[in-house]
Amino acid sequence: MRFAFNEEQEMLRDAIRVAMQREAGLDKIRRWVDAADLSPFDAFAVRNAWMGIGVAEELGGQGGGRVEQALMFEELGRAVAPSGVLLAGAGGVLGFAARLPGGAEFLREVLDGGGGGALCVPAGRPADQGALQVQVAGDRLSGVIPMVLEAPGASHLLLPLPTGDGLDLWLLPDVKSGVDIKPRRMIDRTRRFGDVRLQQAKGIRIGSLSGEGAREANAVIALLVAAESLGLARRMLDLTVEYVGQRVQFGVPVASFQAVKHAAAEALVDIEAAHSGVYYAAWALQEGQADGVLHAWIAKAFATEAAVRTADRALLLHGAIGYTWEHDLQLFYKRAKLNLELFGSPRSYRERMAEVLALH
Amino acid sequence: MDFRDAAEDAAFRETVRAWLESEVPRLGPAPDKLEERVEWWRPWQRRLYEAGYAGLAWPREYGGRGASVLQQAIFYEECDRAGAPDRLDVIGAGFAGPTLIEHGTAAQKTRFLDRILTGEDLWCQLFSEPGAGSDLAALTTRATRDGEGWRIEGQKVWTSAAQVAEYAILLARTGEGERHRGISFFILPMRQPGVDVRPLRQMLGGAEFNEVFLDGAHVPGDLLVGQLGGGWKVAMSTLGYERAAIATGRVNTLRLLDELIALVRDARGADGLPLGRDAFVRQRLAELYTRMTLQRLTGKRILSTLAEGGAPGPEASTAKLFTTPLVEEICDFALSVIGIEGQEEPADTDPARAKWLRLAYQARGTSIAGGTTFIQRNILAERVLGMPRD
Ligand SMILES: Cc1cc2nc3c(=O)[nH]c(=O)nc-3n(C[C@H](O)[C@H](O)[C@H](O)COP(=O)(O)OP(=O)(O)OC[C@H]3O[C@@H](n4cnc5c(N)ncnc54)[C@H](O)[C@@H]3O)c2cc1C
Repeated sequence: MRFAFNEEQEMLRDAIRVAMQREAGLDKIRRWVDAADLSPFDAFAVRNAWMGIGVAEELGGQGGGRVEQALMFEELGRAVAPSGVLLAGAGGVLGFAARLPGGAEFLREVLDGGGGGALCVPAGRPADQGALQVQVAGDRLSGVIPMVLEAPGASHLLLPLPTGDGLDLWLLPDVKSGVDIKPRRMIDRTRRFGDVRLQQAKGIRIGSLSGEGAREANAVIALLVAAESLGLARRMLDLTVEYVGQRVQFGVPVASFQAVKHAAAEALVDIEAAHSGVYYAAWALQEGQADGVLHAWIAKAFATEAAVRTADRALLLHGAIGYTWEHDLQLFYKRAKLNLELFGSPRSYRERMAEVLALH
Repeated sequence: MDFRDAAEDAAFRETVRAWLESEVPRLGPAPDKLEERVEWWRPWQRRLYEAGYAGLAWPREYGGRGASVLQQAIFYEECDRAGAPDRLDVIGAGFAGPTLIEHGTAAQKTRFLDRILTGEDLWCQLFSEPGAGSDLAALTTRATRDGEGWRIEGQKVWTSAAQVAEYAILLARTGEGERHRGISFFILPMRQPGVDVRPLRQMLGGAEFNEVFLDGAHVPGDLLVGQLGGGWKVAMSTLGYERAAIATGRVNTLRLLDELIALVRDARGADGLPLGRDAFVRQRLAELYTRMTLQRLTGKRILSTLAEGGAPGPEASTAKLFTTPLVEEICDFALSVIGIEGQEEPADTDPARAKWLRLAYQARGTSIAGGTTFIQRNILAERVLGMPRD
């Protein structure tokens, strides 16, 4: 049994951290947000081929598996990167398509094209529920899918439609005709969402997933959101410890007050538990262990809540400065709150767990 | 990253499982009273020793097996699975022993360590005093030179298992030096006239800890551990082992949760409907299940660091703080499902029910013993997060 990361994994983590610091620091992220244009980050992620991390080299990816992807998302969270395009692309579109027999071709195309794809599902629910209320007539699709992550600007959409037990995957190769995308503004401005309206849009059915395959694909997205929340929490704790060490009140650094120390210590307890959950789930999914999906739910439910608790502790410990637009904490705070709901709330995953535990 | 057993660990697991299957004797439930429980447990400990399963990770020269910490963990996992008895030698095997291995003289090791593993000697810890709890360095028990040895005067309190212990690890003041500097670490034979053990009843009625009055007790000259006046350093490593023993302790949260689920499955709410359909109950249970899973994974993470020869990092310091409230909440939830019958005197009620109540109370003790929750948070903040002392 070995829990530690290997050398390559550590190198990957460091490389992402350095790249983020150098080219996508908080000042830049703020500028992109102010201009309401995140495309410089998308381009930067493509240049670094991050879309291909966790995708086999034979398929044109960078190699590695779920652990590497989780490491990447933890780092993206630490830097509060506008990671939606990676989540929707690497976690969503590629994650679902890779499970299809013909998915490999599709993958290569997406990777080559820079990967501006979106998984066309309501982002507030587990993605394996698919898109509801879409009518299919031949190869024409009609309906509305609300709150789709990264729909605005997507070059193509992958639309999972529920079947009896599983999902049919439809590709909408042309988002110009019959597809109308209305952007939605979120409090977290580093993520793009939109409502997708389909009116006789042309689709290609590229295959179908079993219920199990759908749950596994969703588990990967859930895991990546969890890993990102872990990174957010770690960074918020770092920011907090640094700040309270410098801020002087009553003639001493506020970090020397026990109430302050205890709040920080409790955040650490949360974070270390989340770390255990995220990386075990990543490993278990990667290795196809039977408990991988369940552990991804556990990681999602716990890590996103832990990040929210950390966010609130961090805000309180910063005092009023943390409540300002100018302070960076708000960027992390809002993402933590969003991630709680993204691709399924803790409540929805706990209900699934209760089902597995067969309580009645 | 790889969570599978390595080949030799998997083989070890098989061997242990087979052994336990044939050996876990039908001991029946453990007696309630500590003194009786000790006698009930001793033959089992002896069997473990003879089969080479006592002190798994201790060096062979001290009666151990020299196995890896992973194999030790595997052994405990299998014990839990097989329903083997809980250990009663936590102080000796869990932290007095390891302290002696680290700091004791060759003669002390030869004399004491093997007998800990055979179950012949139980140990206790004479650290806390009425005026020295969280602030252990405020202790006032004094050791003065008495020929070759020392004469001990003072009073200790909250001493678990003193009534059944053969030996104690003892902190006493030997110098005039301030605070930490004048403290020495001794081994005290408990069965002697100057040692008076008076049981203290605990909240639940049992008497497992005690006051210990030391009135001219004698410590022979060869039972000083570490340097004279250097006892604080030794005590710190003891506390480290103690926290590790508590954090990786034998409360099997997986089994607890399984039992809680079974309890819920059979229960009906006031409205007569199955509790397992109640949305609040489902959410709460899934939340506890989540934390139980993470608690166990963190345990594995600590082990994997140890197995690679590293000192565990923040995950070890956070483990006690994560585990204690979890156990409290699992038990409290079970008690809330049972309802008022769950508050019945344990001796009068169904053992399966009584167990929850006992464990719920025990968990409260755990949040105090070995450094309270508040003290652990101070330690985390100062030593792991680098925040200033207050
Ligand atoms: C079940 C049980 C078994 C025990 N077994 C043993 C044993 O075998 N041998 C032994 O030597 N001792 C034993 N103890 C004693 C245990 O180590 C002490 O109880 C513990 O260290 C706390 O000391 P105290 O009880 O004096 O509380 P105090 O130190 O008086 O603390 C009272 C309260 O003040 C808080 N507090 C104190 N200082 C601080 C601070 N600096 N910052 C924040 N809060 C603070 C504490 O957290 C606590 O909430 C046992 C205790 C229990 C409950």
